Amino acid sequence: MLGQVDKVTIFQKIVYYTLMTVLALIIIYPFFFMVTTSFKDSPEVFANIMKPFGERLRFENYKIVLSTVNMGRYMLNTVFVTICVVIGQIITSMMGGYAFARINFPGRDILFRIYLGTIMIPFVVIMIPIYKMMQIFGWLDKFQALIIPWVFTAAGTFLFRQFFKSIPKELEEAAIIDGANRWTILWRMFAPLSVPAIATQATISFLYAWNSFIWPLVAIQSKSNYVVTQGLADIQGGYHASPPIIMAGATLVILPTVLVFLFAQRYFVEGVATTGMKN
Amino acid sequence: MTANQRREALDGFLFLLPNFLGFLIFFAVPLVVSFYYSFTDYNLFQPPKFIGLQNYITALGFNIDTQAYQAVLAQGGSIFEAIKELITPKDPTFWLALGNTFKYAIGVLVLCIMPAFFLAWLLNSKLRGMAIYRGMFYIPVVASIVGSALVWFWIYNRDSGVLNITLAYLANGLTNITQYLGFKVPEPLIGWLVDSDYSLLSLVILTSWATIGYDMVIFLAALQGIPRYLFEAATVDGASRTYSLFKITIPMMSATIFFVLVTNTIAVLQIFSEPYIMTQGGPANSTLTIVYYLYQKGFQRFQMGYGASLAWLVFALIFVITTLQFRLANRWVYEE
Repeated sequence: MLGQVDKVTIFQKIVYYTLMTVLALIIIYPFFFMVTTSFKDSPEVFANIMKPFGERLRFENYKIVLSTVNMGRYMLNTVFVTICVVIGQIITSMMGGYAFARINFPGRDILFRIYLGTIMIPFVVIMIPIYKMMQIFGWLDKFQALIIPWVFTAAGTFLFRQFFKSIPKELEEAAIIDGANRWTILWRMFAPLSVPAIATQATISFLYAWNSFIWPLVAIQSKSNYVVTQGLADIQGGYHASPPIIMAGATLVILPTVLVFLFAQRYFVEGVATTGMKN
Repeated sequence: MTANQRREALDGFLFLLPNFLGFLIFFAVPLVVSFYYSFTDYNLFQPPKFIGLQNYITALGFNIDTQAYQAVLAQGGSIFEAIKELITPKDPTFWLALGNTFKYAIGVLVLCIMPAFFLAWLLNSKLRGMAIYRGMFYIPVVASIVGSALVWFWIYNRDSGVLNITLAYLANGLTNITQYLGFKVPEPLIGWLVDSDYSLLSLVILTSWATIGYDMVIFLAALQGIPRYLFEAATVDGASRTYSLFKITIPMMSATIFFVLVTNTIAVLQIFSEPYIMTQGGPANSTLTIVYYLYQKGFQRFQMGYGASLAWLVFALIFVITTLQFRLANRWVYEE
């Protein structure tokens, strides 16, 4: 808007920065409320919910959440599941993306179209049969149910296919003449060139795995195998359902994704741009 | 095929194999099975019983009750009241959930997509610090919606929530002025999540807050792709900013606006966590969404067959809306 064509006056700048700051503060406020409330105790919260700080910072809330409410266990579970899903998705998408981008085989283009068409189909459509399948495999209530069906992603395959197509063919041909096979080419030559695509896919997979809720909710019953979102939803209905404890739990669930975002902002935005614009 | 080509095809299959197996086992097979389940009566423990179109008839069908119709007329009711009794949906809850989901989509359009466009428009300047603002608006997008919903649950609290306290404070501030005019601004005490007039709106506000950064980033990328010379030429010709907005910016962004509309609608059709955490679909089913209803039917009452048919109706809706929007887009989307 401003500065698109004409020069900006100081007055316009002041109005502009004030407006943006107010909007940003409104957007951020719920997180401020979450973190500050997590350091109070219940009487302090209900005495004046608007007052950010109580008498002192009550770190013991986090101790209760991590040990008594068992959020520590849920966090470890989620870290494990997330790492497996991220690594699995990247490996299968890179291999599939490479096959679609660079190898000629019968039926490739039709198969690729089918893959693309499925991106639109929502998960709820297959949720009930997958549930039954997990029951048959004996994976219900186990981490397998949270990991194995999730390490294949049509969208990720698409992302890597697009990226690999942009790598010049000459590089690869030279390597083939030198006697390298495709396996070596993918992991020794393409992988190092694909760091931005890998980072983008990793952030997408990470967010997806860490924040997933409806599937763990139906697939996992034992508390010892809960993931963080489930554990957090469980606090609300449980014995420790006071605002400070819930907010401490919410902080533990939200903080990791926000931290990763702050450090890898570029890749998040690129992820939106690639998944968004190119299809 | 030469030996070389055969060798290449084999490589292709091998590279695709892990991906393709996963696609087949965890996507294609469940998809077909789900379609089959949607024609069955299935409770997970006994084998599915084929019942034809019965699930779809239950979800979409209507009962016709001429006796009730005549009874209303006999009691002196109007013809409209009588028709209401004559035709009743077989599953009123489904229609309620469908209606809620549509209201949700419209709410997100007004409270998320439009403000996101405005925000992107504001952020598309060469002034310093834009990246910081963009980053701040994006934080709710990466935050777990379960966590965010719990935070907003306490912001929305009727008696001691931040929102009502802030509104009361504003009302009192206004009263300081209006008291000279002889009236008071009443302190609103809104039951955001417990009053069925406000509950759906409250969830829409949460979803919009959590999505606005995503839409904004997409709009911003598109805005930055508009060539500057268009604006420069318009300015030289004496066009105002508003004129440029409607005659250059919006037409140039039509494909993106369309994309955001489609993705947001698809996302809204699948809303689950917000009602699950905040309202359990209540009060009086006012926040029951289709997917939450599907969850209740399938995983709480074990009517898996009916649940599967609801899932396919969600998909059919997504399909219809996307196709419709594509058709419309052909008319108004400007492409270079």
